[in-house]
Amino acid sequence: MTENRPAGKWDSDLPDWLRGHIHPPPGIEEHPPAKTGPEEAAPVAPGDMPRFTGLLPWLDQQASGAPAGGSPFDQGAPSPESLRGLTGQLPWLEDVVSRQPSAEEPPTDDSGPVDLGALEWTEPDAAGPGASGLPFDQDTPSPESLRGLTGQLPWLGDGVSRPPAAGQPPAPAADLAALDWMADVEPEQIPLDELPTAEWLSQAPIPIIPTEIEPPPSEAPIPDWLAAAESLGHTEPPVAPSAASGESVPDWLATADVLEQAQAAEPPAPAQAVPDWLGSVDDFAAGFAEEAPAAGPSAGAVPDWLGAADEFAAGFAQEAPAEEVPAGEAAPEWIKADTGTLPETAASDLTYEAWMEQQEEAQRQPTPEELLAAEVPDWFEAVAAETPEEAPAAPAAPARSGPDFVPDWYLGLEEQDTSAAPEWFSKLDFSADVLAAAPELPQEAPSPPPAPSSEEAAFDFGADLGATPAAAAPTEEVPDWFAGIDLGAPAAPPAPAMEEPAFDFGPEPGEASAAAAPAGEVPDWFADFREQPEQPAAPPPVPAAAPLDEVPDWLNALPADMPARQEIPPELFSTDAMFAEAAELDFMNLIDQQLGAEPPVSSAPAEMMTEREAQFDLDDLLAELQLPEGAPLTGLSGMQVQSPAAPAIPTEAGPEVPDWLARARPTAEGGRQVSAVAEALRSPETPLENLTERLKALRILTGEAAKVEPAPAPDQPSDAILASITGGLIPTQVFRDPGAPEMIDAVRLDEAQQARVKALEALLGLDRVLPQVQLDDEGQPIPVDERAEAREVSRIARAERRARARSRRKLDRAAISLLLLAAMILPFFVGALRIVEPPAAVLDPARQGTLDRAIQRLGQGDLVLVGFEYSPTAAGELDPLAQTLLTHLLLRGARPVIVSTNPAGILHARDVLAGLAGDPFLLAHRGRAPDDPLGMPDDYVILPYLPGGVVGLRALTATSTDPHALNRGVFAADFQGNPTGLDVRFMQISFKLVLVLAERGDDLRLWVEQVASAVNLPVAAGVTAAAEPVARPYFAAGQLMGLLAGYRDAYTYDQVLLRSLPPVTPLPPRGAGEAAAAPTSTVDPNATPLPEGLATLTPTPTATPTATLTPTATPTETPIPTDTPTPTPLTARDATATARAIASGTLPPTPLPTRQSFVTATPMPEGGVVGGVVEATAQPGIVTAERPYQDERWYSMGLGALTAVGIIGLGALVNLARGIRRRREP
Amino acid sequence: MTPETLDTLAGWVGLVLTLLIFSYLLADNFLYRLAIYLFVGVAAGYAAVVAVEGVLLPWLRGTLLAPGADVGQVVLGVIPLVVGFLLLLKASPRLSRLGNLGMAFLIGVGVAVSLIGTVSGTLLPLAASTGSYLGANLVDGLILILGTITTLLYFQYLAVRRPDGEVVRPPVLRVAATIGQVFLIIAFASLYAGAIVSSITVFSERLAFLLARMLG
Repeated sequence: MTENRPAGKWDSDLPDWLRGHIHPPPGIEEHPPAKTGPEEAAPVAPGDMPRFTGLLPWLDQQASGAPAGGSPFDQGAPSPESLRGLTGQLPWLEDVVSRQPSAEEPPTDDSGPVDLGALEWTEPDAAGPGASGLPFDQDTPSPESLRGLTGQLPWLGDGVSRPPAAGQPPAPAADLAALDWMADVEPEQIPLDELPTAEWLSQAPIPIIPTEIEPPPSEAPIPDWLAAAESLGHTEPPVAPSAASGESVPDWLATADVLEQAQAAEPPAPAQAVPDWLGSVDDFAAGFAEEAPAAGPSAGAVPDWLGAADEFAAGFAQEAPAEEVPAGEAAPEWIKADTGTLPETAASDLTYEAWMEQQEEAQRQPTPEELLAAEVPDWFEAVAAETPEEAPAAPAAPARSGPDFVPDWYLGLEEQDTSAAPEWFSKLDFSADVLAAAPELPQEAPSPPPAPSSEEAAFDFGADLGATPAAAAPTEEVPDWFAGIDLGAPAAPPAPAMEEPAFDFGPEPGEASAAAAPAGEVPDWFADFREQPEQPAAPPPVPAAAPLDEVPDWLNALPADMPARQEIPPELFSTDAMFAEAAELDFMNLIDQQLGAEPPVSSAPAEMMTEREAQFDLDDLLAELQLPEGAPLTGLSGMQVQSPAAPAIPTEAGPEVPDWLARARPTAEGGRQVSAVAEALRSPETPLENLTERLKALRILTGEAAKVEPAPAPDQPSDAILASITGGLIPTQVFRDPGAPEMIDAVRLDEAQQARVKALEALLGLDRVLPQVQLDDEGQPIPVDERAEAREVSRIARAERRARARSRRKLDRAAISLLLLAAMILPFFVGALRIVEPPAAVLDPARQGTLDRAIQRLGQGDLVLVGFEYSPTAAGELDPLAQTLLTHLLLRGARPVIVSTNPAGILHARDVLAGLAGDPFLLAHRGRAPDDPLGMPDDYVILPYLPGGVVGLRALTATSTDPHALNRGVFAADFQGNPTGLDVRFMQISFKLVLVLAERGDDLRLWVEQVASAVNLPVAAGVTAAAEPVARPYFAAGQLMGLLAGYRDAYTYDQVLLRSLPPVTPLPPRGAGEAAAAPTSTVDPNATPLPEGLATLTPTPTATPTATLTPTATPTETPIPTDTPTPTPLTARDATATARAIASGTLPPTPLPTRQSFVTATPMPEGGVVGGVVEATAQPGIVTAERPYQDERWYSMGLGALTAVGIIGLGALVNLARGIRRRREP
Repeated sequence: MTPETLDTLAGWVGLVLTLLIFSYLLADNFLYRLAIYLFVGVAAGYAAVVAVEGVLLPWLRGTLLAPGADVGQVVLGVIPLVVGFLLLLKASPRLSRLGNLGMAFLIGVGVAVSLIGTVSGTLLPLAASTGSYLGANLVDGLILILGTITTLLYFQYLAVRRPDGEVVRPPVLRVAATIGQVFLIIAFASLYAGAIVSSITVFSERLAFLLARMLG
């Protein structure tokens, strides 16, 4: 790389590639002191705008003095000034931009980077109209308004020096010295103390971009590389305004001029120093540009590695048209070549209509082809278009050849006032090697907004870059890494190379065509952008290697046989050309083109392909991977793999299998292949002749995959890919013959997988015995009887159902149930099993005695509220208790009032009371005839169902029979609707006792909570054994005065009750006439007179036992056949007319099965029997309520409870043993 | 058909149904389910009849259909019907929101009544009874109080987080909870024993019924 100036102190900290390209402004020799505060930054003069705005034609326009006041949002054309402020803040630009020399200073030849310190930064004029700081004002926003907006960007900060008022020279930024590598930059045009530092960069507002972009003077040098870029897409080489102004603009930035030139259609500036690396972009843009770039690649000094960029762009570049950038909106002078000053004016050639068209075009949704074309960086276009020789030397407006893409955020920047740019920015020298010389900033007010095309072309770097290589800037200003880019003029001398770039990419391993590019200065990767010839290109000759320290290492690592760098025609980067070409782009055609199947649809896609892509051949790749025939298949592990035999698959489906599953079943002709692959195989394949060549090759290749030879041994080099690399991966055959399902290795299924397979087979019916497909002698399948198969399947299904039913039967449950059943039935018949004695007829004084006493205190007609809170489900346990208690109540003459919150309870209460109502014992004790049963409402009342649960109980306590009361409750009528005649005003007055018969503990709790606590009445409860634990606390708390639980308490209470009752003889039935004659027994008067005191009765077998009392000397028991079940008083009468009792006795109950009673007659003390008939009269006794099997039940319950306890205990022991064994097991 | 005949027939039907229920000892079968369905259906039907005959109709006769009913009486009779109708709307997804009014009234009144009874009928009396045991019988009282407190503590998970992140209960609380767990076990065991006795009692009654029916 050419050293443009000796490395001084000021640039000692600069990166190598940048060193020599940044030129301090004139007068600045030492490291400028660090400056803080944007207020100290000098605004950049319009002519001092960096050259890089040449990439933005509209910016150049502003630099050249475009009128201010425009904003990108105006209907008018946005001024570059409005955009320049943003571009001036691009950090990456700051690295390479050299300050623009002032307008007074002549442009230098050094097209170094733009000096940001020379930029003129201004602040929005608050006093001006439309200067509210928002570009969205209804008024025409001024650049100042835009400036304020962009200046508020966080990364910009507020540190940028406020731009001065319009017309005043902007103060240069003062804190550029904070940048280490920039600290020693000597601004050529601004004093050191005015150089901007890094701090201001972070706080800088938008530098003012002159609205007017002066056309770059023809004499302004433009780096070759940038000039070449500008020539892309333009018919004229780019103009280098910096060359005219004598300022140096970085080459790469100089290419920005090309964009403006393309739109402005102005003749390009003389060739400026365009780096070679940027010059090769011509090739890249050649495929998109409408016109071939005129100039060759930039002759600027670019690194060798970047010189290979020609090769990269070879596939896309076209012949760079040797023509200047068409006159159009010129790039800002400050961004053009070497003068560092921006052109004073940059008139727009676009009319309003044209601009509107461009706006619409920009807002149009890009087509895929356009998107593809948009991927091409704009700077490539500029580089390709610009050639080193044709790099604009003067900050002339670069020609533009078509619509270019203008990012939205760039819009309006051209409105920025150039005077607002810092002074250092305007003084930046863009004539360094990296960037073309910056055009001289315009001194006057910003010019009116340029034509719309200038905006789009502002970012059409490619257009600029695709300019003719002849317009390339001097090669001495192009960095090394960029110098090697061939922009379409391989023969053009390289642009002035920059000094060592900041990053060393190492030597370039290969170069594009040596004749085309500067030797060893174009990176290979960049060369790929160039257009590739249709025919496979031969390995391009390796150009002269660039110095190793100038080429990046990673580029050095590239293979030497990189495709040659090719030219990138400037038309490639023309927007119009891109649009047009992209529309015709068809990648598939490209691929087919490469495969040689079809000619390309258009030349553009083919031209876009690089040589590398042209060399790419899918078929070749497939051929490389194809192994020799006959070789066995190898697995991933390299082992020989044998394709497993296809398993046999049943071909018949079950009767109940869904259709989709049935389809998965095997068919008669196939083997056992139940898999998606099998399904795919059965699907018809596209005939081979209908496939494209590529697919044909794949089909054939995959079909021969099983015949490939094994992969070579690891130590055997392969001639496939990566042949030169030892120790790499061995190519492995990965294709398989899709004709048959194969597996890489043997299938090993674990238990879970096997279970799943079995389940699937069962689902498909494969596990059933199905007749296999039988084949006859000719190999044809024998038809199968489907009906027989269906019968067989149904038989199997029935068997399975029976098996499932058998599995549901539990033997242990059956055994336990039988044991328990036996334990409870046998005591009814077997006296030996009556091992549990009935409880003693003694009441618990605390629980039962109190209740007994309470009932005993009841009088005739006293009301007792009885809650019948159980249903027939608990009748077996609570009926004995209910009958005993109700009997006691009825015997006392009390009137129970039955109520229930359970509908079934009312029904069952009716049944219970109906049985008691006709009980002879009860009636006898009640002094009622047997045919005079008890009834409602005189003897008892059954109220209707009490709805509401807890609420109903609460309402019960508040009811009243007062007809004028609203709460006339349930006491008015019984459950049949008949009036009860109850006058219940207050329960505590009307009722004497509350008795609750509850099946569950909750029922008792509700009664206790709602009734017992509401009324001051004694409450007693009769509950089941299950509810006893819940009732005990209430009894213990005194809320219950009596508690009876279960059959035990019922049996005890009943025994005590019956024994306490006096014997009562039943009354004769009403209306039955006289009472039945008492049984008599006669005594033979002719018999021997009975001795005194002794008598013997001779019974007669009748229901009314009579016996002949035969006086005997000693008392003799006389059996009297009778059916009396209870002890019956027996009276022996004298047969005389007086019939006096002469003997008395008690006829005991008739025992089973003899049904005979024996009585011992005892002569009455009145006298002996002289003779006569002694009648034994059996008097009927109190018949208590029938209690069938009362004792037997107790015996049965006792043995059943013992058996249940034994079973439960045995089960607990078994579980305990299991738990211990489980704990001991490892 | 005389009542005696009906009683006899009902007795035999009861016998058959009892045997059907006992068939569950072998396994679940159709006959058992038949008996169950019959019982549920009859119970539900009877409940519905009782609700109509014993609640709705008497209410209507006493309010809306009462002869000479005044406006107040009519309004009083309509209000429960309206609320009941709103409850029926809960069955409609679209109109279920209207039933929320009736549901709210039902739940509100029930909760209020239950709350009063619970406090005055269970909490306070039982708490006083527990405390009074100490005076009557010290040992029993201490056991009662200990069981009550430890049982309540068993349901309280008062754990603390150690510095190492482990969440544990304090040792004292663990011991108390364990004692409470013992009392809970005893209580559940007594409930289970009572349930077994009740079941055996009912079974013996059924056996006696069968024997009396079959043997006379």
